[in-house]
Amino acid sequence: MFQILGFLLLSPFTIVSLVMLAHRQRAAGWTFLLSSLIGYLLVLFPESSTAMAKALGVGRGLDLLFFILSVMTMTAIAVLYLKLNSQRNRLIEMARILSLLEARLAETDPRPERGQSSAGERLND
Amino acid sequence: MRKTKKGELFRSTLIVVPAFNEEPRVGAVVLAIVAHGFDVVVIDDGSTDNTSGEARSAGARVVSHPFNLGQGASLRTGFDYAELGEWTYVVSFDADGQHDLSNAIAMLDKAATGNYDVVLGSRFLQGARSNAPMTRSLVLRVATKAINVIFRSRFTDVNNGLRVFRVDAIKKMSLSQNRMAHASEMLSEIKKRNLSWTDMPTDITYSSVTLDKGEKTISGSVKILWEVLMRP
Repeated sequence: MFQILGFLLLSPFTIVSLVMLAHRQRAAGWTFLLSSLIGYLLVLFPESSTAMAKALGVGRGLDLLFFILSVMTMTAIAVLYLKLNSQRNRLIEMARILSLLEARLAETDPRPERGQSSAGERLND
Repeated sequence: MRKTKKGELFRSTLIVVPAFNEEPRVGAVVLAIVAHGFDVVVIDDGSTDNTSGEARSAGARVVSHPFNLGQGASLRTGFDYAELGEWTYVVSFDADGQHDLSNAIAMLDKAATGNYDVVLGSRFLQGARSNAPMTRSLVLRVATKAINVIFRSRFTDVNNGLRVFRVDAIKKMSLSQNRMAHASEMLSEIKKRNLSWTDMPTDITYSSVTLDKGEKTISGSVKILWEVLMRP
């Protein structure tokens, strides 16, 4: 019963990892796949986690799982932060280019409404 | 003759003024700059007040960011704008009235006569007057020492917003910092690209508004350090 529940809980991770690999997100895909495979092994051989934990000097198998999960969560947060930062920088570059183009256009286009408001001003209205 | 040369120098200079919610102050700053015959571009960094309108009415060209991108990003937009024109020098000048235009003119003169790529303003050289609070002065001095150790340089003020650049020198620099760490990045680029530079004493007048708007000293320094470390 416990093993069926374990497999059911792990199967979404496997599916997500396969979808990621299909979308060429190799690093994340392989990490998820390997994690879920380790999970299946632990479900099939629960005593192995305790053996591994003892070998690593952690104590109980549950503690080892907790440490692994903590490291994985922190890694995921760091990766997300870097991705968000990179996307924010791209957005800033786009916004700067747009502003420069708009300013140059306003200087060369005689239509009065051009020089009176910009995308930024309209956004803030 | 001297006056004509000065006029030519002023006409070949673009003053870049990054501004965020500076409606009450930017007009006076721009008027003073324009009165000297300079071209001035105000980079409105997503202000929610009428900063753009005030700057335009006072005679500035205006580039408006669609939302707040940061002071570093604003300066980069100003530098890009300068590269699109035919100016020889660019001066970065704050919108809140804390800088003295006569200092900028003296720095510009030094850049032209001494053929320097960059002239940096300094609050810590002899002759400079500043009403900076003690904590801010102390943190800035420590930051200056730290930067000099890291870059093996001899800068005297790492975070002074008043700077003169030759446009050709800007083209050689690779700037990417969008927020406050841009100041350290500029110094790093000056060193890395082997640009000729000097510094001059400059006066800074902080008002209560300036101090309130500025980065909080300690948290600001931590933020700058974080941005420097996370530099791509």
